[in-house]
Amino acid sequence: MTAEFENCLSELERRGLLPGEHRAVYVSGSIARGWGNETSDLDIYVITPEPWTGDGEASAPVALEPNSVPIGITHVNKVRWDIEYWSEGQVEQLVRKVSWASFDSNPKAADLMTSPMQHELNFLERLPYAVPLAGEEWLLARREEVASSALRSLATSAQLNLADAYLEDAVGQLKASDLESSVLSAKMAFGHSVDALLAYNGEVGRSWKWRARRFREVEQEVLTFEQYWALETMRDFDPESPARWVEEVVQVCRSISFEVVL
Amino acid sequence: MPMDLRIRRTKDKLLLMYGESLVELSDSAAFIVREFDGRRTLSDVAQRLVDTYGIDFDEALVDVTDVAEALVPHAMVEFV
Repeated sequence: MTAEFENCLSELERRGLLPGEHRAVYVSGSIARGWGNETSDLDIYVITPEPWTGDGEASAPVALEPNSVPIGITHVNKVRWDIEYWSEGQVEQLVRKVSWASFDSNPKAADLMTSPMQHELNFLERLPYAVPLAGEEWLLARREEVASSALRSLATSAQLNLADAYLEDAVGQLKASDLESSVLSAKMAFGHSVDALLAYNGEVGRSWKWRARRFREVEQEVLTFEQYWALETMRDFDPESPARWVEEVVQVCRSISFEVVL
Repeated sequence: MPMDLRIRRTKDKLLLMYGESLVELSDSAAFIVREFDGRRTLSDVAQRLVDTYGIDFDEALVDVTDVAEALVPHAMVEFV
């Protein structure tokens, strides 16, 4: 446990937010990753042998059994703490969902990674850089399971599917001379294509606000950061010639699709 | 190639989807398909294969033509 988080467990306990029985407790999210700032929330995960029945301030729906994750919210020294209470059974189900057996047997497995799975994907994406407060062995074991799972391929596939859907829109809108809509669709397609490239290289998170950070974390040769940033910020977009920008985006998305191997 | 051609690569396959058509090629075809940019001739692409993989030009041209002919019926490429 790092000194930064050493008081977390006792603080949770003092506030009645730490179940008596827990398999693991860890910090993750932007602060754990070193990307936080003074407005960032602290994301804490508590893994319990049975579903937590305490008073959660909120809950997040998940496609698991039970079908929600209770969330406790508290503020410590002006920092908001979001505490998610996952049962061990929910985690086991989630790991099974991203197994190679699931990926290979279900051609639509990538659908699991689209928006309804956002909460679950966040959970999985945050395991590699989580900082354990208790139950380090449990965390390391899950981290290993997920590292050898089909998560990368599932996340990559899901992002490519989304990118293709937007590309199809962009092309259709371009043909119909609906140039403004085409630009917006191409922008969306580009984002999902980049997320596919990042997922393929191990950055499976999908948070748009961290895309540039995630981009800098991976080593790949498809797109330089400068090329990525120019398109992300639409630096070379010419309002007099929007189709040219759309066509450039299509080419980049195509290059990415050729590069990633599911 | 159509702008909205869908492309997927797996360990040993290249899948191309356009409209309702799905064409499955060996992954080695990915290099060839990627070279179809609307400007290069089949010979140009074959020469790129020769330059990259050091194979015989005639053999390369056969490979490139095979791939192109597999895609033409599905409107994924067209000869101009």
